[in-house]
Amino acid sequence: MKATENFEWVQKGTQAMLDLWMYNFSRNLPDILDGNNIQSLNIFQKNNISMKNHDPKNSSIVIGGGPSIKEKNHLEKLADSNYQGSIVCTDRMLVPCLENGITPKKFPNFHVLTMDPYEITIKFYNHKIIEEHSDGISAIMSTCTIHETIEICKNKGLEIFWFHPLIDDYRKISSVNKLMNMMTKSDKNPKGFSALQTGGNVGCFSWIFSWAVLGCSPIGLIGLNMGYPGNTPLENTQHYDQILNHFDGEKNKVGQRYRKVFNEDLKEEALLDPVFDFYREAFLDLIVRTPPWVKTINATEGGSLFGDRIVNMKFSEFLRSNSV
Amino acid sequence: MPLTKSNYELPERKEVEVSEKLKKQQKRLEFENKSLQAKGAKGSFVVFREEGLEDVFIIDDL
Repeated sequence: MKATENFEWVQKGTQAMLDLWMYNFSRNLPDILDGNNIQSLNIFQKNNISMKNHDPKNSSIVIGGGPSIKEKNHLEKLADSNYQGSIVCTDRMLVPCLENGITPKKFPNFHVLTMDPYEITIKFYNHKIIEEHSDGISAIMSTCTIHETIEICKNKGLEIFWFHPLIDDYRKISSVNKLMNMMTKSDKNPKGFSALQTGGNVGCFSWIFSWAVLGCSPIGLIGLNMGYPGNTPLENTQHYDQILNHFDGEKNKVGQRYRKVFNEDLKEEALLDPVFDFYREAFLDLIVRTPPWVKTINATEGGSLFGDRIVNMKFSEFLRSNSV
Repeated sequence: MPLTKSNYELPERKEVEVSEKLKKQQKRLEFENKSLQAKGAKGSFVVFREEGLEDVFIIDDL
């Protein structure tokens, strides 16, 4: 699999954060050693069934934080529905979901996921409303999550399930992942913890969690834009300052790292900054590697995600076909 | 007596004089490392891509 220039560039920049991941990991160790393994949610392990020939009975909705979620009133539509499947919510969307009535009381299979090692995740959990609804929410946490976030989640009463994000070739004895897992073995988890591909961002990880752990299909994606409307000025894109910094402030060079794709499903152009280009490339590569029973429905109604094994659909249609 | 951290006395080390030239070099190196870090575009996390493990999504026994 040949990676594009943008992919390599962003992957390299991100790899430089290894120090931070290990800083977080070491501070989480006391909690991890006594913690729950994500494996206890894994339906393939629990029911001793093969992932290859699975016959899915439940669907899930992955809720990302892209702009279309507001533009298309997706949270309101979901809250008003009789959707029966699992809610797989990215961390930044937890508070907006609860505020809109998407709660574990109404949707009993409710999960929130954090994979980012950065400080920003603290504010996703530091909200009063979480205490009111914490009972019934499973918090899926990377072992490299910033420790302050873990403390907040514990204080809010969320039940935490840990996983290692896959980093390197675990077949090698010098693998960082292998060492991480060795350190997490305990009486409670004698084999350590499960490790998962993340796809580089919590939206993609939520999709992986939906089918590889919960065994759900179809999986409806909302708020996973991974791009901007084609006519968006570069300055208004999320990672503009990073790219500008790379080019020592030379604005005329920034455009080199941006590109447009024509979304064939929506018949409109999408603008990609290099970071979204990186996420998108990973997602499209991973999606074709899933078992045949995994059906991915992009109900975002905007953005750059289209291609093999992705079916585009309006969210209201997805809800209609997966509600009682 | 077993040698443990608590009873082992570290040998004294002589302080090394750092020349002005070396100081300058160290400062420059620090600056370069810092700007290198700031300049790379960063995603939320890396994508796991290892030869022969392309189809791996989950591992229960590392």
